[in-house]
Amino acid sequence: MNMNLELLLAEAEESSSGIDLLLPATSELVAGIAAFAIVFFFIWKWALPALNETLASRASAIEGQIKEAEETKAEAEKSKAEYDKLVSNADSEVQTIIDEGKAAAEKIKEDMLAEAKKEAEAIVEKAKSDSEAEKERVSSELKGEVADLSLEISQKVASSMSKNDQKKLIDKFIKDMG
Amino acid sequence: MITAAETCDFINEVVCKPANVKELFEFGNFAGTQISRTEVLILLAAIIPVVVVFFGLRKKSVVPGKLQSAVESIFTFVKDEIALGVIGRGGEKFTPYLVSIFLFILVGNLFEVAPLINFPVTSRMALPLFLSLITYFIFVFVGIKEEGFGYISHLVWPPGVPVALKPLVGVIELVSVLLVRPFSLAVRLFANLVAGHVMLSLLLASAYFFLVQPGGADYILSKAPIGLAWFTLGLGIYGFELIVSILQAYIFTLLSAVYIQTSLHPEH
Repeated sequence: MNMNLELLLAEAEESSSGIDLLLPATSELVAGIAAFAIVFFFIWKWALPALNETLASRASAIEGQIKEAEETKAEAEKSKAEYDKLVSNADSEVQTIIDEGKAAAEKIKEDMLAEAKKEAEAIVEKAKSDSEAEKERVSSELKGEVADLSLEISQKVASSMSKNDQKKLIDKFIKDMG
Repeated sequence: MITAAETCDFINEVVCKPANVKELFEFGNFAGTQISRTEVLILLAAIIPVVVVFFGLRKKSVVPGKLQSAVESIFTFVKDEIALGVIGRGGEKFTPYLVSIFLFILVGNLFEVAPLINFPVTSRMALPLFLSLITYFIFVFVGIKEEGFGYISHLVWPPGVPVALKPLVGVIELVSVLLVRPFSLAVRLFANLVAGHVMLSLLLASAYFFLVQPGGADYILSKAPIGLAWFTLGLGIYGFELIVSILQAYIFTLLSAVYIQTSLHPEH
């Protein structure tokens, strides 16, 4: 037991040399200064300028792409407007064609109707004319027959009547026929 | 530590320790030169970020690849969130310094969990002290440049404090700003990394001893579960130390920015 205690005391005494661990070793200090100088000058003179250059070129590229996208968008909108206009014009042209077709069909219809009407009127007129001519012809034939018949009758009656009475009778007959 | 402890006589020695506790943190000379392994690692902590950043930014592609995105993210994070976010107006000119200390400390810290290295160079006082002294000189220089002698006089005789308290507050301010700040900044980083390194070393070395030490079947059955428990806990702490490494680099950079900000914009 005493031997253990002595060993522990000896240990405690020796451990005081551990204070050396808290003191910086000169050679390590020099190595640290040199090492940190390398890192610092590298970061200061090369790394940060390189990073800034990269970030600047990236920002520039992004701005360029945004601008390009905006231009493409504007072109697309312009193309769309032109397309819409073309579609609108096509609709208008179709409507015009339809309207013109309708108008032409209407005109043809009216012309045909007018012609048909005219033909009908001509037919009617011709029929009237033919009817009148027939009527005249029939009337004329009838008159001739009546005259012949009258003459025959008158000859028969005249043979039994005086000349005066015959004349009166003929006039009255003709008059009634008129 | 494992190598040192392998010489221990577990049966006859009550306390088994390395002949010199500094063996935990010091390494032999590198490849037969006078340069120690720690110094090589310190230089490596500078070369790695330089190489990574160089290959990340050399193409300057408008559409970045994975490495370029990662490097750009770190730079823009430090610039936007720390240099401009904390310091504010005029903070941009401190970006090179803040990015440099962040990357340098980050790589130095990550050596703690880097396989085959497992030694954070920031657990040696030289680096934290040197970096905190640079921050100290910067914020004192900025304060004097902005306010002249007013920077010191405002510390000694702080405005807006009742006259009766001014001497006391003045002494506290003077000591805390001009004496405590650089050491607290250095010790915070140093102590966190030392603690992590010692904890990882102890857990994984213990796991190694309990799992690998030769012995019969009885020994393996009785000791192996303990070794497995230490190993599992060690792996957990390994992940935790990865976070601590990143966090401590961020905290050091952030506090440097805060100190510069208090000198640059004392009205805040």
